[in-house]
Amino acid sequence: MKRFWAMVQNEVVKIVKKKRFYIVLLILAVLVPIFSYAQMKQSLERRESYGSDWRLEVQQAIIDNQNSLSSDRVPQEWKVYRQIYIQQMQYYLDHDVNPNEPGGVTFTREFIDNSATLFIPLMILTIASDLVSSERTTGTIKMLLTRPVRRWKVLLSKLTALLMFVSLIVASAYLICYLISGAFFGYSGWNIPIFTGFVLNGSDVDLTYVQATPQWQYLLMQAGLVWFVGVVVALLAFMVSVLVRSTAASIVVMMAALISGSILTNMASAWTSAKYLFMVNLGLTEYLAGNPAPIKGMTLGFSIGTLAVWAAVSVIISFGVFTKRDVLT
Amino acid sequence: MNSWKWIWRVSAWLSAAASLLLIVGFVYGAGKLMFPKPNLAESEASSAAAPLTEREPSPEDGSYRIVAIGDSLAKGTGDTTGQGFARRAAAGLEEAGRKPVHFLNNLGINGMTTQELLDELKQPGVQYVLKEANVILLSIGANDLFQGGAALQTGADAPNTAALEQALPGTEERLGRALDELRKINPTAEIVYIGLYNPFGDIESLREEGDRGIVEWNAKAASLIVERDGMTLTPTFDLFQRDPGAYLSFDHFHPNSAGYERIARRIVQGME
Amino acid sequence: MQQTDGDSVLRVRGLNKRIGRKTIIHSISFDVRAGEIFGFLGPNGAGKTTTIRMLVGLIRPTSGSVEICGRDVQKQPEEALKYVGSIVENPEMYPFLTGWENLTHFARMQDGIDEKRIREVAELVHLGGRIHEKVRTYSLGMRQRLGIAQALLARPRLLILDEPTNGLDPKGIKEMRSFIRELAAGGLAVFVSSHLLSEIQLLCDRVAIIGGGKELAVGSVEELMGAGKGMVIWDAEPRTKALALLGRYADIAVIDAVGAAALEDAAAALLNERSIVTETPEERVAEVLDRMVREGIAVRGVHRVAPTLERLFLQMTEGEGIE
Repeated sequence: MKRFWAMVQNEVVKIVKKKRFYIVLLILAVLVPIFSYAQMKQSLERRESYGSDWRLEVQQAIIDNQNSLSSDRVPQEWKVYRQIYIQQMQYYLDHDVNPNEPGGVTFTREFIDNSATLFIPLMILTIASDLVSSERTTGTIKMLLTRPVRRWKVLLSKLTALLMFVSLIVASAYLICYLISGAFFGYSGWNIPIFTGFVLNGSDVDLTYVQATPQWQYLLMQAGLVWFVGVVVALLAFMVSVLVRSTAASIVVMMAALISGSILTNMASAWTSAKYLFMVNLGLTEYLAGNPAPIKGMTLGFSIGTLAVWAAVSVIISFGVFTKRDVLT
Repeated sequence: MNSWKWIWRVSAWLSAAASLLLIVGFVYGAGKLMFPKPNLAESEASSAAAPLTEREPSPEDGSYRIVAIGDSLAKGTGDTTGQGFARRAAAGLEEAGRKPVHFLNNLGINGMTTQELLDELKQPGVQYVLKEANVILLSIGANDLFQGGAALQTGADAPNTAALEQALPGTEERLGRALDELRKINPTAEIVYIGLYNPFGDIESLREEGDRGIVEWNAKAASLIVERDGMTLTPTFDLFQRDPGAYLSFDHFHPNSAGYERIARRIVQGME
Repeated sequence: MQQTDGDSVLRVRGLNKRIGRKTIIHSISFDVRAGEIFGFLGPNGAGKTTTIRMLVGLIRPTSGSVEICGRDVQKQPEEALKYVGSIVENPEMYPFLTGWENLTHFARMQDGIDEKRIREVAELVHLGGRIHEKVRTYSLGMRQRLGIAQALLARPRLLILDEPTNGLDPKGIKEMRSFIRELAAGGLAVFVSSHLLSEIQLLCDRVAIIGGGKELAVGSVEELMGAGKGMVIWDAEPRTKALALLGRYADIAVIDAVGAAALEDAAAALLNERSIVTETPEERVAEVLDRMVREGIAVRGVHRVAPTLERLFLQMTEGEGIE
């Protein structure tokens, strides 16, 4: 056991010394101010046209969406989406709660919502895709596997280190986002009520389960869901990293999958069996926000289950292949 | 190696703490979403008691605070610039320069009928906006009387006198209720009702029947308006009488930009 | 031929490897004993590296067994590999870590290696002050030495080195040889692969020769190398006269240009336009030389060189070697 943690320590130090994690932090530190600035510009512009009263703005958004509902040119799926949006906005408005209250915490919540399916998984890929394939590219895998340690332990130590970094990446995404955006919008907003529990029945929203959650609690739940998605993406990328020799190829494979996922969720709905693909199930935070699922029949439970199956299978394949395969080059 | 120990300790502790927090968040979030508890208190206290309804309107600041509500005419459908008479009137008042002008909202919805307006007026958000205003521009009724311009476009159900006559009394009654409702929501605002014009003016076969119905409706609306305080009716019938083609848009139903501009000028005059 | 001594550290029996339908290693068997340097000789592509990978558990043999100190590498990898230090092909280390960090990394993977031991092996391979620099900045020779340090970390009983002198300069090669001899003198069993016959001759006690995935011979170096006739390069004038004279001896074969081209580099450097390359039994050289002098041929030089691996193979497959 002590030996195992020593090996995990090896892997952690290698990840850090390889500067992979710094790259992740650096990307966040560069991107967040850009988005913060864009958001600030946007809210300034809004203020210009609606004065300081957000209620007028929200009411106008509701009316605009109602108008687009009556248009024949708007596709049916969009109508459902807008219907739900209208009802949620209505709810916020009725309860006199600004859904877009600017503030560091709100910005963080929105930023993570937008980056949960693509951006954060990409950050995770920078570490996960490299973990096994880089040892093969450099040939150090031979050194690693000729030590008197069983192969599954070697792989498990890498996997453990990876999961540690998934947590670190998700946590630092929140931290960096909050610290930087707070400089733009202020650091308050932890207790703003956010409504959760919008249950969708077709194009109708059932409001009986709606509850006001303080934003910090919402962030906690959101972070948990993002973390779960991150773990699943990490495990899949880890498998690809075991199967594919080059790090570049392994990143490309995973990126292609992620991007096709975000395209599929937008096209969506008609092809219902696509819901069993992992990449369309990555938007767990959408359920929290009460947004409609990309494909009919998808619920949070379904998505978590589907992702868990994919993750489990990829772990089995990773270990099966890694422990059996000949190291030829 | 000191740096190793340091790297390891920091990342191990941080990741352990982060993992714990994230797992808690995941379990809590997933549990809450998968097994939601009905919020009884919340559903009982329906939107009637919504906190927004209890908000006091902003104090009068000596400016025109304009809201438009009603059907596609209020919205400005057909105006290629999207302004409609509402924003054009606001611009006109601004130009007149007597008071500062704030255009708050345009709550016009395509195809809105008097019944839908009555429903809409129950919305706390809509009430809030109306309370904030001191000028309310209202356009409603045409969709009740002509079952919308859409029927005309398809040619399936051209308006006829019989149908129009049949729709009149109900529409009149609902307009009266809507006006009362508006007054109740905002006791002080100037309410400007936009009279109807004959949208079928440039279709020879329909022109006469349309004219008769519109005149009748406008008269009924006018009597509802005069019965109530602080309300005016802005007539538009004559504006589209002589040369409807010049002021109607491509759908032969809604005004075009020039048509809206003329209505707006009337509104501004009425308020001077 | 196959020893079953009690002190054999590495015991290989009937090793086969088939990839797809192609058998690339055909039943290889040998033993390596404590304190000996065992050569594994074969041209590039003969299957040396594949065999080495099977020895250290990187490749699973299709059949046959590898035992290290009596433990099967496939069945008890943790126990068996404890006794082995190895460099397979190039000594690949993490370039973004320092030499010291690399050693620490591998030390942490098994029990009983403390910081003192790391310092010991680092000193043993003379990495000196540069041990705390990033491996990225190391020369090949330094990497090679770091690789050996890594292999020695766990005080192994068997050291496996794949072409250890590859890419080293002549001084480095000499140092490496004496270093390996030192290690063997200390009781370590050393397994060295090479494609250079001279290398094996200079270094090893016993040797296995493989070609085309098959084991051609296993035995002591003298025994096997003696089986091949020595090669002599004659530098004499006039060349035609010397050629005619050599042609008179039935047991001296003149090797044509093609055969001469296959000489090892060191020997090839001796050649000039007058050179005549022959296969000559050692004991005949003095006699031939005497004859040349008497017939008025000016002898400028006579060099005895080791036969090339290719010649040796040729002889072996002609049936002159050991089957």
